[in-house]
Amino acid sequence: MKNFYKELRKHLIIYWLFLKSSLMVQMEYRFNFIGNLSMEAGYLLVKLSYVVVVYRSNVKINGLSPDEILLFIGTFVGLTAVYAGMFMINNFRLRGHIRDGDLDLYLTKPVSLQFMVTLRLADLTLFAVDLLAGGVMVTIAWARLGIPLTLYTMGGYLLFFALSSAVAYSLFFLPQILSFWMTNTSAIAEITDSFWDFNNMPMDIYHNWIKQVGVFILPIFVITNFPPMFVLGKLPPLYAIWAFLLPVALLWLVRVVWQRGLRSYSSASS
Amino acid sequence: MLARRLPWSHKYYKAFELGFQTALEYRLNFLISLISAAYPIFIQTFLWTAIYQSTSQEVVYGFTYRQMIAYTFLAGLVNRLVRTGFEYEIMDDIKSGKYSKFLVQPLGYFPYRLCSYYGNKLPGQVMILAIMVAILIGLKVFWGIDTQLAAILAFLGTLVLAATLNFLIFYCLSAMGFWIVETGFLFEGIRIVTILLSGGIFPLEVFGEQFVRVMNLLPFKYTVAFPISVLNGNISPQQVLQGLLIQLLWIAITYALAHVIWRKGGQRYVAVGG
Repeated sequence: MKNFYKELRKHLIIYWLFLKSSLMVQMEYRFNFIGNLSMEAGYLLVKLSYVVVVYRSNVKINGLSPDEILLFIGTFVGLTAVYAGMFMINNFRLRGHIRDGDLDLYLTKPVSLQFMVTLRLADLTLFAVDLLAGGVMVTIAWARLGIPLTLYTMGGYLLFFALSSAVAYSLFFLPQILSFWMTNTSAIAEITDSFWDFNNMPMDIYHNWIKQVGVFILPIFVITNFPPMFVLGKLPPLYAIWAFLLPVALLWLVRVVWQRGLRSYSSASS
Repeated sequence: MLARRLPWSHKYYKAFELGFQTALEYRLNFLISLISAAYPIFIQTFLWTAIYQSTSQEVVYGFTYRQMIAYTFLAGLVNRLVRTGFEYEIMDDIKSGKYSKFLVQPLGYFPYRLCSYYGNKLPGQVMILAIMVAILIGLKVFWGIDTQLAAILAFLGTLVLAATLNFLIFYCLSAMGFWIVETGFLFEGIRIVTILLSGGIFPLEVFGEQFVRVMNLLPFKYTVAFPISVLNGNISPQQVLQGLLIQLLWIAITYALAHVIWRKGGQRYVAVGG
């Protein structure tokens, strides 16, 4: 147990250094930084256009008021900060690491290889913009809905947010591991990445069977729907149990597939 | 020397052919990008269905439910039809110095890019137009929405102008590469905003009358929303003619602007290496 905490501490310190170095790289090319900011602002504007549609329609959409939908969209933007800012860039690079043999270098490091590969880089511009925008949307919706700010609501929301982040990490990394067996997985990567946008709106707008598929079979809806559903008191007990089981199962699955993939890896330089 | 002997049309036909071949080479990518394009259509269809089911009104933002769904599908497809992508190649040409060869060769960079763009668009356009025909047949068979032959022909005309206008907008923007080394992110940001302003995500009426009035004056609407209105038959023949004239006007303005910006930018161009 002592060894576990020691390792955890070491990895946390290294992750902090990864974040620092990512920020330094981004700040080095200042116009890139501004360009990146403008790109994210553009994407954010598109997400806000959905908010405009919802508010201007001024109807309860499948039982959800515009303020409740804002809570969902805000959570989606906040979780986009975590997924696109922390994980996505690393996921897309795995293919290149395998093809070019960069993984050789990572294999020699005295830290977890999966940790190195999946968390080495971070897009902190994107992370900051989306987290701020998502936070503002959630705060406005929270206040307008009159949800009490207690340890239970706030703590529960943050807990489900963290669980959702773990689901996002695993679910979107899994298809990338196929790169160990397939030379070109860009097609799969593009399709699975587009799945992220299904969370743009609450899952209640879809048919019931699509909802069940999105929760239990291809659990994309678990990511951004569960935190606001908990706060609104609309999370059924079955979904709550699933929210705790799924991240564990997915993280385990990622670990198993990753280790299998690693066994198939042959260095490009040797 | 060979290029000098080639007639003008033959030279740029080669550029067209090159773009066409490139598009065929990456046909799988194109098919996948079509699948990705289907997601927003899917989400928006469910959103509008939920909105229309939750309201007592038959007409929302000036559209009936069927018109709104038809718009959602057509906007997704037209958006793909006029989409550019050459701006990243131009950025690379300027950054890596490949632009130099166009300065010494008897080949104009603008006509080369334009012909290559049309060639690159052709296979995809044929595919998307086939999908569009299937949608129009579906609309007629299932919902009784009839599309006149005249509207289809006018739509095809406005579509060519829309693609040209979008090309010119992004050709102007590409010149930023002379001043800024890395413009990829910026292009992406601008591309997303122009899609929104062109009506490629939601009808412009959703954002209010004031917004529509402003958009009527800017070029973006004439790349997506206007061709769809022509196809839907939502506007009168006079309005179609007026829209066509505005498209032509904006093409002339952006062409002149591109000429000025590229001349200024060319003066700043420095080729590094041999």
